[in-house]
Amino acid sequence: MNQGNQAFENARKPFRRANLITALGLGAFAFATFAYSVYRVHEDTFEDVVMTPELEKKIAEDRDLSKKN
Amino acid sequence: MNSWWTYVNRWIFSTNAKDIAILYLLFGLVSGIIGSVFSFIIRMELSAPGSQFLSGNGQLYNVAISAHGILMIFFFIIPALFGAFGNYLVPLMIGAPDVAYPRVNNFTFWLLPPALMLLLISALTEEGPGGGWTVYPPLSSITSHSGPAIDLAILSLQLTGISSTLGSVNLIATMINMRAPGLSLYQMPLFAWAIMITSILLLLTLPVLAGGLFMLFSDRNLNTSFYAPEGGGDPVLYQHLFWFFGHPEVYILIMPAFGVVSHIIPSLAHKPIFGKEGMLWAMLSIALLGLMVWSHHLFTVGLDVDTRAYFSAATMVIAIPTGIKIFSWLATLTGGAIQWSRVPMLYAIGFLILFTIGGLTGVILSNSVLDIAFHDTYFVVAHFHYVLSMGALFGLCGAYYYWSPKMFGLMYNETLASIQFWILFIGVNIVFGPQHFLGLNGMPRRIPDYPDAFVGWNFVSSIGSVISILSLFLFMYVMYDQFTSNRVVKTNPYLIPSYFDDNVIFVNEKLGVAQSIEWLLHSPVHEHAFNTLPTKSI
Repeated sequence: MNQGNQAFENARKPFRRANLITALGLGAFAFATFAYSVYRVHEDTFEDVVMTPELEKKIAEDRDLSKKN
Repeated sequence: MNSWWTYVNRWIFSTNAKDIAILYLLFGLVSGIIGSVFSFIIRMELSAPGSQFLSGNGQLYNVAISAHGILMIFFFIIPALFGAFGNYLVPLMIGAPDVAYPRVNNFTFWLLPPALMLLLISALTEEGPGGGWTVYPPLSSITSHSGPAIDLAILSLQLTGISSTLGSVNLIATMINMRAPGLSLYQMPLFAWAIMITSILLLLTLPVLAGGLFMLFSDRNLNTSFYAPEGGGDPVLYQHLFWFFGHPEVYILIMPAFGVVSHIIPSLAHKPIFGKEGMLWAMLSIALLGLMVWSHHLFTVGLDVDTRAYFSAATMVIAIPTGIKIFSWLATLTGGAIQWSRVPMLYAIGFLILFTIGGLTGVILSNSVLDIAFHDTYFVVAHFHYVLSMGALFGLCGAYYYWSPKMFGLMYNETLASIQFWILFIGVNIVFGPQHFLGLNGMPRRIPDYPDAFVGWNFVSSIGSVISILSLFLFMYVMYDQFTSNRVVKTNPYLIPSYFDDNVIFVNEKLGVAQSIEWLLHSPVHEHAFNTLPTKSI
């Protein structure tokens, strides 16, 4: 199909407005899904890990050990 | 305008959906051949234990595995089945002058060749991408694949994703806005609906894959740690994001084949499709359920028992709408004047038998208790190849043989094509049937070697691969013969007179009757398919 074919342009004219609205709607949906997927993935804050004195002691020991190594 | 410019203008800058469909078909064929070569390399390496052809290079084997999977899924089945037949047939079936965005359609196709180049360059760069088509971290992380191969594969996947998303928006908008007056969405032919549902699935899931891959790319290059536990990330998160796309992808591949079979069977059984509305709602149910079962690919990552129970149950439920479809196809065949030996019908029957077998092993795998035993064994490989290598591929071959006389105005040699079907049917069953036994005995997938206990069935499987490759060569010859033998098709080649039809009545009246619009048009369909846009009578 050659670009600028007038008959083809005329055939498509009645659909132009609805097609534009649909493209914007579907495109926005796709981009929003992509953005939301990335946005919702935060690094773990480890809030569910309860810090007990024993755990704090073990972390300090591990840290010292890794500094020595 | 000289002939060279005319050629370039038509095939490079074309905005005609039918021309772009032919480009998709050619592209799919080339990618399918390359993907088949990789599968042949895999099977030859596995034809006997120990190193056979890859000099004991396990990474090279992994690269062949990755390239085979990505090529077949993203560069063969989607472009050929969804891109080619969707673009060619949907505007015709709904009585539209073209797709909604013809220029975008051109761009959508031309994103694919660079994507294929990126993938092939990735396979040739440093150690190549050995992470499989799933590209799981930490195997795909910078620590395991330090070169740019994985990055190139990710960019390739992103390009195909953008292409498929644009294609989906285009076809959805075409079907929503450009149907012939009087043709409601509900009345669209089943193939158009299959493409509509496939497009919706792509639009819903591809952005999530794009997000997942974007974060993987960022972990590899920008020092983030979305998937790195040492930085507070989680590799299982990637698996969730990937399979949120990856499982619907299975339905994306098979759904157009459902549409194809729903046209071939009524056409060659000379009966209307049984329960069209039921078929449509079954496809919608499969799509909806397919979006809610992704974690059945993750049963072994340590999901709690309630989660596993939900994903097992939800997965099993998919068997119900699938059963409705199988039942309806069989009910359509029942009592019909069936042309059993016509090639599209052979492929449709082959599809029914083999897809059902693949579906049944799928029900077995949906049980999380069994899946933990079968996970990453050849049983899984056999299962998804029965669904895809036989389901989607048979749907694609059926579509080619059914609609290629319409698309090109030339008939293929039916005897040769029937032989090609039987060679392929026997070949793929010999490849994948024995893999069930290997998997049940615990042979792991993605490993280039195995104990001597697995020699027999692996050898048989590799022989099947040789037979399947022979059918590929024969298919190429059938195409060559079709385009060079000048068997011109003017009317519907599948229409035959009924027992009680008068020849004159048949020629004068029945040749002008068809179950969908495309068969009423000239073969091949003219550049402008309709002089005046059709209207559906009430």
